[in-house]
Amino acid sequence: MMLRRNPHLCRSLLLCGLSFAILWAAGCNGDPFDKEPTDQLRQRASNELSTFNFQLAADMYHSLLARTPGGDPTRPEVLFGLAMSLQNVVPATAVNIEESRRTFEQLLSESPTCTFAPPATLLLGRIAEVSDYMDDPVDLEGARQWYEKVIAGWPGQPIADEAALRIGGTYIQQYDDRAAIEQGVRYLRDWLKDRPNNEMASVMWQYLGQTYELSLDNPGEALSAYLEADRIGLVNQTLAGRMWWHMTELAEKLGRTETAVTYYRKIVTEAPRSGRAWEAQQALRRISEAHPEMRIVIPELRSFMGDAAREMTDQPEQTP
Amino acid sequence: MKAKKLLNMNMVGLVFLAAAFAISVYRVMTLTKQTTSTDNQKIVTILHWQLEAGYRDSLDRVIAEYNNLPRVKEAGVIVRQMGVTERVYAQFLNIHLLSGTAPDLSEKGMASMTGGDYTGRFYEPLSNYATAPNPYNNEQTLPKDMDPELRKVLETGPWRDTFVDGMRGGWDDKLQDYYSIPTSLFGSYRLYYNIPMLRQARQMIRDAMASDPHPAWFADVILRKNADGKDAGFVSLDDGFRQWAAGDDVPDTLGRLMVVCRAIRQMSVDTGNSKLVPIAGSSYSAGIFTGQFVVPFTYGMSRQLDFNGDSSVTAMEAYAGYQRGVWNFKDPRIVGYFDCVRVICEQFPVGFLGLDREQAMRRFADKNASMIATGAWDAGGIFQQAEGTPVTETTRVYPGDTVTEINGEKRLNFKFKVGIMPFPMPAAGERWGEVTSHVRISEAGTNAGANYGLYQRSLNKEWAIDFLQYLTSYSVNQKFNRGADWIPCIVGTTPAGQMRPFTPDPRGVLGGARLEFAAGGANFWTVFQGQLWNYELGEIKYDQLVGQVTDAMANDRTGLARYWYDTWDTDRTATRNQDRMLAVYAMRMLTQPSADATAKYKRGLLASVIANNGTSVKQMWHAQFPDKPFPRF
Repeated sequence: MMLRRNPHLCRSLLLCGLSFAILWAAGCNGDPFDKEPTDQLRQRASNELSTFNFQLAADMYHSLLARTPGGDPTRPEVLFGLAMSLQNVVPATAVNIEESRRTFEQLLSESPTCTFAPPATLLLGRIAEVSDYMDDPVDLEGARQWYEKVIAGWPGQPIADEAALRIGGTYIQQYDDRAAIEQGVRYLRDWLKDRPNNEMASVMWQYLGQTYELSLDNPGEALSAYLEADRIGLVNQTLAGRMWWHMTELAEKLGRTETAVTYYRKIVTEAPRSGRAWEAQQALRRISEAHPEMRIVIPELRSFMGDAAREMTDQPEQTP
Repeated sequence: MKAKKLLNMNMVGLVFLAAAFAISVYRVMTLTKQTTSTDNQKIVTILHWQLEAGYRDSLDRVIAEYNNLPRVKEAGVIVRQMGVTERVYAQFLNIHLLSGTAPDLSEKGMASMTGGDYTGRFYEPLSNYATAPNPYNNEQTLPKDMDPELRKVLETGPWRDTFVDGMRGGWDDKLQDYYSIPTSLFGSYRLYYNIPMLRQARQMIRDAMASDPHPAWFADVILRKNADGKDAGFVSLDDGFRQWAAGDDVPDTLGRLMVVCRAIRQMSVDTGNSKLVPIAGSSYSAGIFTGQFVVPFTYGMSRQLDFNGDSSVTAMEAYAGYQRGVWNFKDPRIVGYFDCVRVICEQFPVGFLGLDREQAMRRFADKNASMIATGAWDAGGIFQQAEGTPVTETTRVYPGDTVTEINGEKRLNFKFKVGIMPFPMPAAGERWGEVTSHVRISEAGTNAGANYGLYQRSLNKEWAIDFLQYLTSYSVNQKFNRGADWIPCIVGTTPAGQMRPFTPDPRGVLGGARLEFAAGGANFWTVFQGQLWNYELGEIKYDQLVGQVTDAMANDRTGLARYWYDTWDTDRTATRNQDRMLAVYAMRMLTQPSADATAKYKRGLLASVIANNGTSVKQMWHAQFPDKPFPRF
């Protein structure tokens, strides 16, 4: 009755229905990648994943999985790509994370010795350890079990070192449980004792340094750990100057003046752009005055531009 | 009746609509043709928002030279620039990035899709190019008398090492790769000043010092205690001040700068020019001053505030420090800082927060302000407006134009000579001298800017990179930046004479070693910022500012407790994003191995583990309040 009286409403409803039908048909046109050659699509999926297009990569890997039967040499890569894409889609959802977990496990059961098996095992640990979405529980014990599997399955490989680092982390992140933190520290120190030159040694020492300092209030051990990390080579050289500055702070606090001087000099000469070089130079002047017996040679600040910067630094300082 | 039919307004509207549509189609087609490559022609488009005087002309000259290179001509390559005003740059670039039609090269910044995770999605990583030498630095292009060591770096060193900042300006720390190529060095902020006006102000100071008794305005600048015990005035009339006043040097301390400002205000009264103010402040420049002065006032507390010792005090660390009593609003350093902010704002025009950068520049050029604070990017515009342009054979002189001879050179519409000075800092024996650390911000870490990124879907990637290599080669970069009144960014180059004061000064302390008030996203910060504007404008007193801010900080639902929780939540998300980054590195290591993939992975891993699975903020809370549970909302 109402429709008969109101032709406009009738037309609108008809248009709505038609639009819905078109949209539905468009959504049901099957796999949008089915015409693309498999090799090309696999390459594209990998590229999309590498450029953070996780949802698109997951769609592509879904398409690839449908046409990659068991036994196909590329199947592990497809499974790994799919699981990793789903794990990282933003926003993370329980459905995606669960499918990611199942796919990683499928990969491990189908191809337990393939190249992708160790990182898949490690990532299963991360899924357990990290809270991905609201109310996703953190399962540190479950995570440790996966990391242990990495160490047992691929001993002596860099990924085992990474798994050890993650195991240490599962204890140390319990910031309000000193015993757990100490257990994590012991675990990492034992690992470093057995594998002092391991791939992740510098990362481990730097992490230990931070833990000693911030969680265990032990600046002496913190400085020793930072020194060890620096001896091996700091992982992030860009921030080396700031790390060295922090080491001078600890060294001065502990009365280790020679260590402080060494690092102040390093900052001026090797990290002139760190923003701490001038302060390091001032500190060297201060220490030199207090300890003339140390015969400290104070390095000059380095300039970056041509003559202009040299002229500028030749001028007297303007701050009193 | 007939006339009514002939003038059917609907038809007229339709005709206009059709005409507009036809013109639009024609324009779109023409522009598309101009920017689309064909079989015989490869068009490389470079997009930027640098519409400042000089930049486009200088870039045009470089482009013309490049387009005329034999190998470029032979390949049918044509580079074109596209300048888009910064008001619409973000929308323009975002839409084109999303629709797959972005220019080959675009200046990074402004647009949200040129940063964060979008960078990896839309822009090409450039490590492979950055680690190879720049072919345009060769025997033919480098000066014959160049230092051999420098020549070696430029000719054979990686492209990145030919930049004064090691190409840090193009490095994306999160993505661990070079995603853009810088082309200029901005330097830091400086004070531009009207040379004759400052000279006149100094003469007023000398005259006032010589007169007995001093005129009231001058008596006002002498440092003293008010009846309420508060500091008033700026300087003591000691030998140092007398010596400075007798000479020709620019104000080298904040106190002396304030004396000059007071003289300018007196000049405004004496001349009846009510528009004249000491500093051409605007909404743009207020932050420049507060940013410069927060360091000397709060550097001393930065070590206590920096919880994780990474040399940078975050807002969370700053407010955690507030809660454990490292600072408060009665701390003489904080009182002094806000007093300094207010005094500086008094030198700006009334209602300066309603003025923008262009209005401030015009005020300065019209001699209605003796100083203006901005960066090197405005130098071209400021010099042109104040010092005019050289008169050449082709210069047209219109009625009303003036031609002035300055040092043997004829200049069109010359108004006054401009000088540039660094920000003077508070000094001992002056106002605020006792509550500051007498340090300035080091400019050693200044990165090169005006970065251009290469669009991932560009059809002419190699040529786009080739053009950037040309633009950043030693000789071309120097010529280009000198032409634009900017600073070149290649090692060994020197800026044009008037730009030398912008050369980064490495002396000073790290900019991050200070109290960070700006707690972006926090509710109490919204209150803080709003009240700070009122305070800067002189509408409320310091006590009122503090009252409002501390009330907001103490609020149970939206105050500091909430800020702790929100920071933890943000950190947690950031940690999760770090894992996404690691996933990408891992995939690259497995499917597209490269020499530096492992190093990048390790850097990402370090960032991931030290964040302790997003618990760092809770760790800081626990260290500070071991017996209190972490706030939950």
